Amino acid sequence: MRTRYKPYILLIPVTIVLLGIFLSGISIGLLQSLGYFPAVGLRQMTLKYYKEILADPGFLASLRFSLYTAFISSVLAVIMGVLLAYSILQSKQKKGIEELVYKLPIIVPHTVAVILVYNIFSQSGLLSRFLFHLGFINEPTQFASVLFNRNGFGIIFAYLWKEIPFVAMIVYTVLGNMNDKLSETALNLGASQKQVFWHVQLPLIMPSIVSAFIIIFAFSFGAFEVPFLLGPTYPQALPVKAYIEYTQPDLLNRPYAMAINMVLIFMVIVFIGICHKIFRIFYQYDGSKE
Amino acid sequence: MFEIEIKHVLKSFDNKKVLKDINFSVKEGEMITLLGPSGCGKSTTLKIIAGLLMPEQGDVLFNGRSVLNIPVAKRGAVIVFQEYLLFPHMTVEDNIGFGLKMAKMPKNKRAERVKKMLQLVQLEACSKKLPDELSGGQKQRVAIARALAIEPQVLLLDEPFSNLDIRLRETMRSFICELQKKLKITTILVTHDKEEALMVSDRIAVMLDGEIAQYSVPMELYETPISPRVADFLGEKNYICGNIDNGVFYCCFGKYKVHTNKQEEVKAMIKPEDVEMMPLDHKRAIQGRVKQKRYTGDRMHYIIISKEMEIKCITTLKSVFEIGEEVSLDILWDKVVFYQKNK
Ligand SMILES: Nc1ncnc2c1ncn2[C@@H]1O[C@H](COP(=O)(O)OP(=O)(O)O)[C@@H](O)[C@H]1O
Ligand SMILES: [Mg+2]
Repeated sequence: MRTRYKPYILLIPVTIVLLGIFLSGISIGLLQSLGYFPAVGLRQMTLKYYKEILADPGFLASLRFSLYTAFISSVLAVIMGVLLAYSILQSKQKKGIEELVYKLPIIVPHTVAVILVYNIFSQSGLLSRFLFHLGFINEPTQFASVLFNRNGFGIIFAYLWKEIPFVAMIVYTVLGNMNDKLSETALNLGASQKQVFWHVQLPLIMPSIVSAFIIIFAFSFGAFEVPFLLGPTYPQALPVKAYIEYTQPDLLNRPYAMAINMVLIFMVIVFIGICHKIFRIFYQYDGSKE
Repeated sequence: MFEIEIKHVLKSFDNKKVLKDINFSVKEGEMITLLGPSGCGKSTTLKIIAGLLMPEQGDVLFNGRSVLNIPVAKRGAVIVFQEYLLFPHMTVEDNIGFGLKMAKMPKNKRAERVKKMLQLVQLEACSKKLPDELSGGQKQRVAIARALAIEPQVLLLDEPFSNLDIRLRETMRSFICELQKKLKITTILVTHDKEEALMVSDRIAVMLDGEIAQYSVPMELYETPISPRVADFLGEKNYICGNIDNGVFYCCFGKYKVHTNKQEEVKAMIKPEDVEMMPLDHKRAIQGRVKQKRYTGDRMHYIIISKEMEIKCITTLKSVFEIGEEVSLDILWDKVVFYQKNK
């Protein structure tokens, strides 16, 4: 008995620290968002801040913009990541170099991805200058601004650059470890290569794909630096808006920032719940017994 | 149903020759066994027939036509693997209907065929279960139903019983045999279990070191193995060297009239069950002393020392001898097989 519990006992200190930081952060945020902030004399609990931000068109635009960039980039990253992993596995040649190259973006920080996107797509960027030299445009500033605008192109592109390899890495590992014999069996029963992918491999890697999707969606929905550096001035992504409220010199603005953060957390939790539900409906099998 | 011919098939992995010139044929509706020790290339042979592997040389013919350029999916030869390999995310009925779905058979027709298959393997009650919820025998039957659902011309069974416990193995064996006789599918069974092979096959191909060492009906194979190698693979044997002259075999135990056209120096192969043991009787030619005995339940395995030779003997339990006891032996000479000595 003692040995059975030992690992858990040993984990207690770390768990307390991690959970402590996490829970206290969330509780403080929650209290402040509800208007309880004794440091500036706010003691009255109220839903006022929530009501106000939810009625604010600027907030709703931000929410929509964040959902849009996170969702589009995550969906595209998952699709392309799966295809990338699949094609690397299918290619018969030596895999050393490919494996290294596609994993590179994973270790590069997001801010570096931003610089990369900026260097390519800004009006003084590589693409613009390239088109200018080829004579497609008369001067670099004619290059349509693809960054800082409301379609979120730059943000999505930066996320894709980081996340496709991430998805590919997960899927590659799972696919690679999957029993090849199942695919052989399917071929033997008359399935085409394409059918093997759709009916056997994809359903079996689905749990990993869903996890990868949730991770990158939650991350890009809540991340600050990429939309801050590459996004438009209006609408701001939610985390950017929360940050700006937070850095207002007037501390009375703090509850607004916290309310935005709480909405962010709430959305992510709801989203994960929805993903699990949808996933359950489509695939009874999730790798473990239900 | 197809007739199968394997002609001069060669296959290597990493420069190691696994199949060296495999030749055999299977008649329409016949059930044959590929019998050989683990690692001798049995599964490789099945995969080549099914089209999951390409041979380096040689040909595979169905009904006289080469099928090497027909892809796996279209070949009509289905393998049932030892590990069953059911699709873990599909229910039993979806597993069975998989091949039909891939062939785009309409849904209602498919359901009908799946139902028929479920009846055939007696698993109607499990149709909605996932593979994880099935026992070994049930998984096995699903795998077979899944293979039979697409009405293959050739059924390839790769050690289908070796993951089952003994009792279940017996049941599944007769189940498959009956099914095969009923459907008359040309079938190749792979096994390393010689008793299984002797029990179920029309013919047995013994595979040793990537070659077919002998291809015969079970009785002929067991009674007259073509070489000491095949004989040894089928079980422990006794060998006595001697000379044959004019139908008389001369050896250290005396001379015996035998039926063989072999000449000169020979090696006589005597199966342990063709040696009879009896209490000491000085009128008999062969006497010895019991050195070892092993009880196997229905038989007793003895080793007897006679003229400084160890003679193996397997008897029923009608009379039992003790270690150290002096006994006489009789050899059933008409069952003895002679090999040329240099073999
Ligand atoms: N894909 C493969 N790559 C390399 N070696 C293989 C491969 N498949 C089989 N072999 C080797 O070929 C030999 C025969 O294998 P197999 O046909 O599976 O034997 P069996 O089914 O008779 O036990 C073994 O030595 C095995 O290690
Ligand atoms: Mg094998």
